[in-house]
Amino acid sequence: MIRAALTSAVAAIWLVTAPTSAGAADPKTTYEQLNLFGDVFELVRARYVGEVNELRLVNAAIDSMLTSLDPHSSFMDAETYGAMQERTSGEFGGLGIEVRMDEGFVLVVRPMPDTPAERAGVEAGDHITHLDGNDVTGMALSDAVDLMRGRVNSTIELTVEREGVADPFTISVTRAVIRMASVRYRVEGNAAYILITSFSEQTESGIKRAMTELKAELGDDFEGVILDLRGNPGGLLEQSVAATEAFLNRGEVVATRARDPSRVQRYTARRGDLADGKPIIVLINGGSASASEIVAGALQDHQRALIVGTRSFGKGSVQTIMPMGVYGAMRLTTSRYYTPSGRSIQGTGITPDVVVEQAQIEPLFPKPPEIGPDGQEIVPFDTGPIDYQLSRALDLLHAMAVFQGGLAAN
Amino acid sequence: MKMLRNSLTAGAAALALLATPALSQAADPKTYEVLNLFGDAFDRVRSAYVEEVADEALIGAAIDGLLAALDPLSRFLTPEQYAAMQEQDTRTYDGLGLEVTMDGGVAMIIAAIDGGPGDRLGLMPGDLIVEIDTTPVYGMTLDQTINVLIGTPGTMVDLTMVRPGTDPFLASMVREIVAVPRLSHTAQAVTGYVRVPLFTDDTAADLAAAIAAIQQDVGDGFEGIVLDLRDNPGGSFDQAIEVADLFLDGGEIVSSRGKSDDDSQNWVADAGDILNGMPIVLLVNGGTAAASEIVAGALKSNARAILLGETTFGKGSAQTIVPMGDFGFVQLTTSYYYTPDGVSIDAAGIEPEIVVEPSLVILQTRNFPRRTEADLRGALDVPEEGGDDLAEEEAEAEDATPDYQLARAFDLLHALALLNQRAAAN
Repeated sequence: MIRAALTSAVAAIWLVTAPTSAGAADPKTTYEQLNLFGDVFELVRARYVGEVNELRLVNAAIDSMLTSLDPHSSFMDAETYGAMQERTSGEFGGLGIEVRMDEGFVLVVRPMPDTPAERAGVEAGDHITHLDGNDVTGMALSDAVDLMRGRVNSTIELTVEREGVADPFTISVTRAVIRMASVRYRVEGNAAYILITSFSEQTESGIKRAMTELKAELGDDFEGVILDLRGNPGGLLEQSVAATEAFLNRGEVVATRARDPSRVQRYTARRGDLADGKPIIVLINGGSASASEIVAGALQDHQRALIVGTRSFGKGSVQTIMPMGVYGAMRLTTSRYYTPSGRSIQGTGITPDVVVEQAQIEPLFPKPPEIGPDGQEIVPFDTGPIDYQLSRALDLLHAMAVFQGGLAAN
Repeated sequence: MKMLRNSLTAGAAALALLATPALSQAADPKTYEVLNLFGDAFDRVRSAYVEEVADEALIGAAIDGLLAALDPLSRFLTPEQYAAMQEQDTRTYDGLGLEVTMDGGVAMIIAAIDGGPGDRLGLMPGDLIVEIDTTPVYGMTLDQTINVLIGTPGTMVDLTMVRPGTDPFLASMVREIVAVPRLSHTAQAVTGYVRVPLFTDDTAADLAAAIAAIQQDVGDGFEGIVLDLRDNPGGSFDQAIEVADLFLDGGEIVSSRGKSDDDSQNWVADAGDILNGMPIVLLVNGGTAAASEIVAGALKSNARAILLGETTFGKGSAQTIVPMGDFGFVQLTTSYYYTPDGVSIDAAGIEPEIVVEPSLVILQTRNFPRRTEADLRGALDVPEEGGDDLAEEEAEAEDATPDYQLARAFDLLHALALLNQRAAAN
């Protein structure tokens, strides 16, 4: 239906503009511009010396048109779009590592817990130079990621450069089903700690399950919620609205505005507050973007949560995925969003109420190691580094709960 | 062009009437379907993008993307860019003195121009530039990359380099005005050596003069020349044809072949060889590209020179500039160059007949003093001035031949001359 409508629109443009185009010199009409594209395309077909794959060329043209607009608009060909759909379904065959680009190299941000990559010994900070012997230096990150994904139980060889290790070495990893858990949770002190890694279709149900289980576990000790959005790059808009209204009783969550200023869409909280009015702390950092900033911005504007951490990324635009039949899909920026108080966070980000930089802390006077009955040193269960921002957030939450409890008692 | 306009609009109209069934086929889509896909995308951007965008900007970006997907030398030129290109008749290597192309999305060095900053730092053919002053090269066009590299003379630039087999490294250089390198020559005993660093407008005339000068210096017993085209990234195509013609007494030099006959052509040598068939050893390496490869291919196919060194770069395509009304011009790759043997220069490069990698020669000297006449009991007194230590002489000999490929080329040239003399004597 949409396709039909759009194609008739193209025809309509032709009908309307054709008569005037004969006499007009400058500026060019839409029809003349489209025609120029057609002429170049035909020239390439007729005279380019090499083989011409028409679909590949048009894909490149559309992608170039979209990426010229902003960093978040792009074209996904059928294959890439299929992979994206697979990802949003939450399961794919992969290694379980989070990667990003670093000076032309694929850098391991971290291996995801309990995945083949972690078991094989891939470490945060590793540089991946080759996949199955193929050089990935200078490759687009998405292409490198595509190479890492594959059939479950197939094996891939990573060539890794690691700081402190003189020569590159190889690690063999067998792909497994990777589930992108959107929500992870645990009890921290008397708080319900909820980590949202990205906003997928699993987020809303994940938060509900987390709150039910954690409140049951804590019982009367439940003091509040720590919502950790650090490093969360965003995801589905609807899911960020759902995550916000899980902690609000009423009020606007976010408003999106398209090019036409009259086209404003408002999202409003409907459901009850799952935290029963207990204090909430939202942790953010420079890696919290988009949907994460919607949640943090709304809870901040409604004074429902204290925002702790460092300033967020500052992406205030919304992309729409537009399927293009069998050819793939376009990702196009279609609107900007505004927090309930009417501010756009584009470029500025969310400023925390309490700024806490991430830091490494060590006790000045460490306790001597305990010796067990067998004469062996007892290794403490949790030997990981202390998450300073989280520990500060827990302190604040506890203080708020005590203060709130005191007020209630009077 | 007119044809397409009709099929584009007819296609759109047909689809509007027939609606979607035709699109469900997964097989190779028809041209009008592919163009229709573009029309859809264009229309959606115009109607739904968060800001208003000029048609011109959208179509411009689309055409840039379309041509960039073909190869780094196919591109769209606005009338202003075209005019600027016409003014600048000779290519400048200002900045770092590097000839680069795009490969896998990053910049690749074809060759470092003799005496330029890149050459002095030892940058090599095939080195990849992944970042310029911490800005990733990925996503840049060849033109943009070259503009950033040229920059302003006197300014510093840091290149993040990747060379296969080594760790990535930083190349820090100061940009400068790089002089166009000149042809140079020397007479070496009974042979000559000519270095052609780049094909400029005078290269063929300069080369003929250089050879005449060498022949005069050497006089009788002249054996031939070593022609050095290593790290020569090309330059003037016409001069490459003329240079090949200097040594060829007829025969084909090169041909270009494209999709249409208009894009196919061949070049043939005139009679006359300024060396009268005397041996030529042609030195080539991975930095021998474009015009240089035309010369190498012509002299190899016609069995006029022995090629020694490494496989050449493989850059042999021709671009045609097609006007597109008052929008501008399309520069499009329309043909590939083929050697007279039928080898596509662009695909494979030219393989040398004798492969010699650059090498360091370490002479195996003895650990004990060599016994000479002077050491024998009862030998005649040694005159004062002849008393150089042999070990020292050997060390000097080692230093004097750092260019192993060149040394091998002279050996080969000498051997060829000896063979010729013996054949003449019999």
